[in-house]
Amino acid sequence: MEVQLKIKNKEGLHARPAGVLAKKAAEFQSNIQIVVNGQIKSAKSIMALMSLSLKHDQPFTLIIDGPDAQVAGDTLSELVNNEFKV
Amino acid sequence: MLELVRQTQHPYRPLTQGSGVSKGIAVGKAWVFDPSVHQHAEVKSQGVEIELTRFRQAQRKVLAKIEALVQKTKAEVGEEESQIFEAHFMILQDEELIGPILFAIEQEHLSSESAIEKSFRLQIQIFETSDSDYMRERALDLKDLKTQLLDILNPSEKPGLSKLLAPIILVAEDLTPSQTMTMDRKNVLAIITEKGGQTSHTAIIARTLGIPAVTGVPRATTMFSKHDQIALDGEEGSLFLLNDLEMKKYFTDRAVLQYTDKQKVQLLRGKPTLTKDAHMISLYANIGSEKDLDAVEKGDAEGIGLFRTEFLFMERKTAPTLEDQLRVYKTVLNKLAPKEVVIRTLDVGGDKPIPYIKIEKEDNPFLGVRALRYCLKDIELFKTQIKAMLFANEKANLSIMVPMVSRATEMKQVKEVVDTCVAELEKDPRYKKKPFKLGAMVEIPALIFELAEIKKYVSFVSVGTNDLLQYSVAADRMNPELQNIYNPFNLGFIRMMNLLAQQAIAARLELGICGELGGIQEFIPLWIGMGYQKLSMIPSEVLGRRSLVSKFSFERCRKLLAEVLKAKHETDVKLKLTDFIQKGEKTT
Repeated sequence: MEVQLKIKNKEGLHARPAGVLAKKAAEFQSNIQIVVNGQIKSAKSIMALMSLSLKHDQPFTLIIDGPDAQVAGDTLSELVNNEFKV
Repeated sequence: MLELVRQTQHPYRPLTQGSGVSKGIAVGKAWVFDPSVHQHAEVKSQGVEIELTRFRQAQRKVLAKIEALVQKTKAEVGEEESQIFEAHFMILQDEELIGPILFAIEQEHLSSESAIEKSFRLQIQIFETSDSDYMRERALDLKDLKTQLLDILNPSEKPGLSKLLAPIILVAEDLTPSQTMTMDRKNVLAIITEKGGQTSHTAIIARTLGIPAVTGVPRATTMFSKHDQIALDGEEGSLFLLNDLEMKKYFTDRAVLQYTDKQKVQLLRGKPTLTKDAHMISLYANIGSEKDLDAVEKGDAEGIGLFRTEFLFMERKTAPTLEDQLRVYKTVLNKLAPKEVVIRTLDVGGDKPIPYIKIEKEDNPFLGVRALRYCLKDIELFKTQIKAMLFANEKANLSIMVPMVSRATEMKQVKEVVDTCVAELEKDPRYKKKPFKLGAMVEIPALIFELAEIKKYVSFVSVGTNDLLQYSVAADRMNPELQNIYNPFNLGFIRMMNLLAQQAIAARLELGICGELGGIQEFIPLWIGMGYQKLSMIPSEVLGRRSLVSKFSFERCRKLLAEVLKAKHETDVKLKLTDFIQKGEKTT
């Protein structure tokens, strides 16, 4: 499945939010990738997420493939929309 | 820009200047820190198994160090600064970084050192070429981690920052977060770096620890030799080479003087806040959770002027129960007793959605159903919060404050809800009724004209300056395009604050400010002149502001007010207020 999202928090996908997102993504079995401007990276890696330098309001897509894809999609969308507060 | 030699208040020519990021004057020997480690390129693999073990061990050790740093930083600096180390913790286990290291050891038969160098080099390059300043700064974090790994593989004989033999002024190209946190603080008199700015970790940590610091000094590490005596002013960012005794004496005197100034401020601890001519006001602290209580004690606040309760409601799926809230309110009320604690009822709106708070999507959340407006629609939630406060009020030091009040009739409704809560609680034998106060926040301009009516229901009002300014000039304070309109020196706003004070005093309401402007030093004399009695601010600033207030008289504040009210332009207001503070400092 594919989920279209936008970065909601003001400071963008900095170290802390990238860490939170990667940690959450790693909890799922599914293969989870993030696509930004044609670049595809693993959403389970804090380094990969940080290197994308996603800014406030910037759109991105999560491609999720695996047995728990639906739950993963819902959980990660909520996390992004909640500005990475857990 | 940085080459420009700016003004200095000292009678000597600075050798150079950078940005002053942590104030204070320091005098001492320059000590240039050289973080470079041995060259590892030539190290040969001792065999795949051995290298894998060496790498895993080094990784484990660094992870343990980072974990300790997270705790240390949380305790000594703060939650937010500790998060960078939490990110380090994850980075050092990240597949993107560790995968290539393991591959290089296993498949390319490289030593751990070479494998680390290789994988980090690639990642550092990605960060360094990013178009975001923030990401480029993170390259430094990667170098930090790399150095830590290599240091464990080949312990260096070089003197480190964690053990210094004598007090020094630390000069470095740049400092990593872990270096700043683990340096031998009692021997670091001041910090000078070539890189970094106001928001670098070095700057933030130096400010928190009270160590004078100047960053952005080009060529600092080559400018000084090891035993140069230097002085620096961490406020203006200037550096001086002390080449004669007279100059050294001048700066040493200044350094000692500031120390006694700090001590003088400490003498005001536990004392009331008085102007020179003994006009008394109260300085309170604003807090966002019970975690801020230590800072309140350190700052010596005379009470809590605003306890924001939103944190209890955020980041959860259901509303907090009476017990959840009671525990927190009780901690704060009892810790502060007999000092007053003003707890604000829930202040949320459609701009920050909370799952169980049902606010319809609105075009203008700041003009929509928020704060009190929502609470009056969700009476059960409101009553639970008020009951928790009343229950927690064992020492009779509670004040309940309601945000976003636009008309007196709303306070009538609130008063009825509060009365119902008291009546219902009185049926519970565990509840002992104690006196408490009820008040309203003034954030909506129209309320200023209903203060006489509101007096029937409340005993105090407190001004939320940020929102009052935003609503009175109809400019979003976050919008950079409107900074000239959202301007606290605005003539209309200043006159409105004065009218508000007159109305509140005429209605015999206790009057305070709990917005950001309550603590800004330029405005304090003005608020005192207008008759505001209670100013609430960031906890750590209270003691310093008490010292400030003691430097001028109420009479001079009144004169300042008269002059400001006659000003023809906002820049004129700004000038008068800044001037007053500077002169006030000099007359002491």
